[in-house]
Amino acid sequence: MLIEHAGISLNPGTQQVSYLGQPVILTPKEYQLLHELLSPPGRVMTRDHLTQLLYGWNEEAESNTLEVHIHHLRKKFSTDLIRTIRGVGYLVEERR
Amino acid sequence: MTSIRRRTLTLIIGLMLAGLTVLSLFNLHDSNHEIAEVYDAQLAQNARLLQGVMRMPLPGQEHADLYRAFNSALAEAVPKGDGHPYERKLAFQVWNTKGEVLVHTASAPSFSTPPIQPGFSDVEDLNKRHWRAFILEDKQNGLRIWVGERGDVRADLVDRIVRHTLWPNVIGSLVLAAMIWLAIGWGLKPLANMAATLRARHSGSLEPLQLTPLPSELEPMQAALNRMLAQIQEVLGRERRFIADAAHEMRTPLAVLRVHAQNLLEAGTEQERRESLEFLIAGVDRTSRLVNQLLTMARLEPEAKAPANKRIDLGEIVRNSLVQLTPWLLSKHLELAFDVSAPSFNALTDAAAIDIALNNLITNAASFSPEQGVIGVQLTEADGFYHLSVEDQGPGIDEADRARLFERFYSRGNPQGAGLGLTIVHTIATRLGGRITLENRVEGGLRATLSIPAG
Repeated sequence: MLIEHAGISLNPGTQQVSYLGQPVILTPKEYQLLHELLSPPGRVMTRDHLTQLLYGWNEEAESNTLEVHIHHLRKKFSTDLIRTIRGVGYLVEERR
Repeated sequence: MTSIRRRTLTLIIGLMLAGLTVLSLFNLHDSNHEIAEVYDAQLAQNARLLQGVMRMPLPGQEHADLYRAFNSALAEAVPKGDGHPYERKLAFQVWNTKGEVLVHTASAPSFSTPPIQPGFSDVEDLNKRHWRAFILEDKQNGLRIWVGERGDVRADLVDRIVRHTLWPNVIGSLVLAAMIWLAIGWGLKPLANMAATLRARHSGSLEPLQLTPLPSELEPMQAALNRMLAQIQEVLGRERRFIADAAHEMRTPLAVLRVHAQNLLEAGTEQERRESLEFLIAGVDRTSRLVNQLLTMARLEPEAKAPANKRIDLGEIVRNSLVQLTPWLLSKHLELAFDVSAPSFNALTDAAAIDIALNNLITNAASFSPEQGVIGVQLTEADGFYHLSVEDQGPGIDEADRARLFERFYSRGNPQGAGLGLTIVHTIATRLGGRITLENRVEGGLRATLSIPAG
């Protein structure tokens, strides 16, 4: 089922993403992150939760890897797509 | 039902009877022994007296006359008015070396074979009567003197002594028992007084007990009862106050709801209808919040249950609560930031209570925050406490208000507030062994800090 939010269209079947009608190329981690934040939007995801989602318990992740992925996602869509709640986590706001 | 009086009396009388019995047995044994000694001495003395008379140096014929005179005198010597019944039971007789009776009393018993062993002896005569006897042998004068006493004399005497001491003892014991019964009753009078006082009280009375005079043994009982009464009174008072306050507090939102419903009914345009409906929904929300807070208070207040303390990471608990609260804060166009001074805050505390407290503090902060305001949450450790602070950019508090802030249903002019939030936080802080402090920030706004013991 197609997920559409704030101009983003994400197809979980084909893992294809477009923004304002234009296809966007995402790395697998970026896609995973975006999918999690959009299902559904409006929920806060803690750093721990997202890090675990991307790397599991075994993989050692650099402390700022998550921030790097978030930074790339913002660059590829819009800077205010993903909101940082300091000390709590990240969210894509429900109403834009 | 056991009675202290009866129990004590039974014990005392039992001990008394046992003691008396032992004493009486000692007495009996002692009397027997002493009587035997005295009587034996008398027997020996009588024998020697007789010996003195019998061996008087007299010419041959006169001895025979003496014996005759003795015999006739003794034969007549039966107890008269001035005698004693025991006299008859004393006897003596004197034999010569050939075994011929020289003199004897009328009461002297006959033996199948005359006893010859000198000294004391117990013998039986031909009539099967028991005698205690003493034989004195005078070889020089060829005399054997026998002095005897019927055994039943001694038995009779001992019997009398025992009877004479037993009856006073029995009667004395009964009198003593009655007196002890009264004495115990007198001693237990304070207890009876207390019972009577309790019985006489009105069943609903919660006044403390004032017994005078109060014996020291009943002091802890009165103190415990009064403590309990005070607790009941406090609980009842709190409940009554709570119900009154809650009912009073419910009246306003219900009246407001009614106004909105009335407006809805009279709405002319679609715009007015919509507005009224939105007010109505907001009013229902406020009332629900009030009811929820009342329920939370009711759960917290009685302190019946011990807090469900568990080892938790306070930072994680706070973060999870904030995750839940963030969408609501964002919808009110408020920012949230959470800062921690350490990676983890290990605490033995009640996570659910912390969540309730934090929710209330954030709700308060949100109510007083300006549009686009930032609500800052901090978790730090200092002086053995974890400090969870919630900061807003609102107007802060007046010093005049401070004292009333923890009062129930007092909300500092906040139309949305039920005035229970800080009361709830205060209750929780107290229960977790911590405290809640409020202070105005230098840069403006209020900082509310919940401190709980660390570790």
